[in-house]
Amino acid sequence: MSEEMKTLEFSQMVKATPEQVYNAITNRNILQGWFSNFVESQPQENGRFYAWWAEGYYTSGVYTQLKENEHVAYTWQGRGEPGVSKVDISLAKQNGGTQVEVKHSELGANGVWEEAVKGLQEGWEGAMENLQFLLEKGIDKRLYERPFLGILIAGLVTDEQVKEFGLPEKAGVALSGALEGTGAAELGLQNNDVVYELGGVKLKIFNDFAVAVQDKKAEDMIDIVYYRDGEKINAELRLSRRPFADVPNDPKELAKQLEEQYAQIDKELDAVLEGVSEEEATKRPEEKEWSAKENLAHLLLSEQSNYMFFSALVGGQRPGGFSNDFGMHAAIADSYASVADLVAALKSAERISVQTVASLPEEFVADKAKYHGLAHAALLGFGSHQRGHFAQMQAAIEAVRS
Amino acid sequence: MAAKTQTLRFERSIAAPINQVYQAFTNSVSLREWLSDSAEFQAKQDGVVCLYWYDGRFVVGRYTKLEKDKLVRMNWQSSFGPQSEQMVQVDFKKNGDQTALTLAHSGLEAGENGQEDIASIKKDWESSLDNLKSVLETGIDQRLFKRPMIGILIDRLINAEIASKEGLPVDHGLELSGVIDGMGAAELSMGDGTIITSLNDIKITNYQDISEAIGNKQAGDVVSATYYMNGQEHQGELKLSARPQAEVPATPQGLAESATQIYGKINDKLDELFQGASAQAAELKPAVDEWSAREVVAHLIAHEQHLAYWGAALERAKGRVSYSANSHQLVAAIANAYPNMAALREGLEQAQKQNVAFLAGLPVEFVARKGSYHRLAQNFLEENKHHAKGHFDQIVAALENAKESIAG
Repeated sequence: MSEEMKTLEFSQMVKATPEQVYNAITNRNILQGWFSNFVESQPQENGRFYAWWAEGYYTSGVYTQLKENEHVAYTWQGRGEPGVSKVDISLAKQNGGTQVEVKHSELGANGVWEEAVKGLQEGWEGAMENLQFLLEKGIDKRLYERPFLGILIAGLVTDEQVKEFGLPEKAGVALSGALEGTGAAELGLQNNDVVYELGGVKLKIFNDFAVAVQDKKAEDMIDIVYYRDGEKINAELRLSRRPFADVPNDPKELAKQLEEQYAQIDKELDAVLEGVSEEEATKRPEEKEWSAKENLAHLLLSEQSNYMFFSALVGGQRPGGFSNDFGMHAAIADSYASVADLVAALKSAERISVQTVASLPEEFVADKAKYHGLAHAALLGFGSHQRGHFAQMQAAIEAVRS
Repeated sequence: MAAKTQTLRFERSIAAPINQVYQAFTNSVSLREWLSDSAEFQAKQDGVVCLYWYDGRFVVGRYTKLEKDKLVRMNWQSSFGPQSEQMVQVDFKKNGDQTALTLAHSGLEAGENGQEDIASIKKDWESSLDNLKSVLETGIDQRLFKRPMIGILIDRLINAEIASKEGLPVDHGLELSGVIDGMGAAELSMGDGTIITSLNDIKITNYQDISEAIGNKQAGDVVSATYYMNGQEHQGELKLSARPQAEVPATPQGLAESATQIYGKINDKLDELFQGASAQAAELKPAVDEWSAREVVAHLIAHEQHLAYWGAALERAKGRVSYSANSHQLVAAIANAYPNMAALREGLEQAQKQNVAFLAGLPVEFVARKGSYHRLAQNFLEENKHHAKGHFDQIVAALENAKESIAG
């Protein structure tokens, strides 16, 4: 019995080479930058294709056809869908870029399929836009549009704060300030303000923020209700955009920027260790708190994992996560005869990170999705990890001295 | 009308702490150690459940319920067998110093293949759960342990180009550089220069063909082999042997000592290889995409750092670490970070010292995770020994090539 089958078709022109587009549709690192939140992809015949979205939907299938830089086909069994459908993606080189054609076929037309097909239509439309954005601008469009509040949160309101601020019920988030340049700062939100309601949603748990902004984008306005000194204020808040690094086209330029930032970090480290004896650096302030030297061992391991992470990105391999929590720091710290040796090793590791960036292959750099992905990872939040540990080191040294 | 579904039930008693058994069903790293080749699990409500095997099979789904050290409930779909959405329920109970495990796999529909698919799933669960017991109680992963070896050292793959250039009698196959004493290939008198052209009736044109030929076999099995020695074709029955497992030291201290010995031998060998080599010779690359002797040493440093990173991730049962020590850019960057060969060699020794310290400092809780502890030990000992050996020839070749270039 033949059932009516449906096919969805999508077309998108992307200013990128067919090679770059092909990589974006088959490499799991890049797919995670435009398609879904998690991907497993083995681009070979009968290799698996699995994509998972944070919203809860996932699909699994296998590659049935692959022609490098030209065409892929894979099967698609989406969660909740009554059967297997088929996806075909064709690439055609054009003047100035690549024409991408997507055909999602063998979809059912009735019953459960109706809702599913609606979701797939929307999903693929958004995905095509994301693909173009990532390859042309080097940024994940979903992140680019994700609203950024710019508030510094102290915590959910306590029972005492409900009384103190005269809140009608236990809801709200106490602020410790607002980030410069954001809509929150423009509005004048400050320390001790309590944001009570956002977009009509009372903030009772942290997840309520996500609920409040779910249909909003960066630069949209949102209704906000906040309390200051016991007074209720209604206003409109401009949702900001996340900060994105300005990525230089030349990797040597990027490397130079990193080198300068590392030089600054090194200066700060030298200042922390100025006049500190071996004994002071090696002693733990409390039984379960790291010594200054152990903090350094951790920074060394982090920097080593940093350049291994860059190398994995260049190789298109899955990059390992950064574990903030490596063990055995005492043993590793001990394996360095002196603090000076450990500092030298750290500075050497930093040089390796810089040089890895300076020597990025041309082909990698020409692919905005790949190169900008690495650049953003390298630039954004640079130094905050180290500075956090410098503070820890200073505290440890002070405690040991007293 | 809903098709009738079946439920398979299994029970095991495992001599391991309940939290380890629970972790075996909720942690990606642990899952790979007994059940699948690759796993991605997010142990939370609605979290991702993904299992993959190298033969292409996979299972995807999500958690529907989790209670630490008590129970796990998952929904899943598989790429093989019954296509219905299935449920897997696992319950854990402490029973003295044992953990009692019960597993129920329901929602199984007998499809076109009738009961065959379901019987196959039952068989897989039985051997997987036996493996779980083996890994948690002894550290030994039966899948690796049973993976057969034919005992060959591979030099290169033969193709038509090589064959015509060198006047070989065949245009495909594996050329050996040696054999391992006491194993199947040695028993057939194969050796350096032997070309194996088919195994188990499968024509050998690439490395995957070997997996295809013997992957489903076990130690003790025999496969037909066609091979060439001194230009003559031979047919034989090739015996498959068990994989030798290195002795795993029982304590972190013992592990650190074994690693120290291996590093000592590696360093002595490097001294020997670089004896009399000029700085210039060490830096010469045999070809634009081939490493200089100095870069090979830099690679060894990258490898040690990779082991450190991988080891730490394993100890924390977190994340997956890919191998980036082969990156040309990284190797060049590391080589350049040291002013001369002496400093580079010191850098290698420091990386080794760091790893010895890491091993010596392994916490008791990690040693108790027998499967992970065994894997870690194998990688830092046997595997590392073989890895270094593989690069010694590379150093010799690079230095030889450099000598010629400089002289010529």
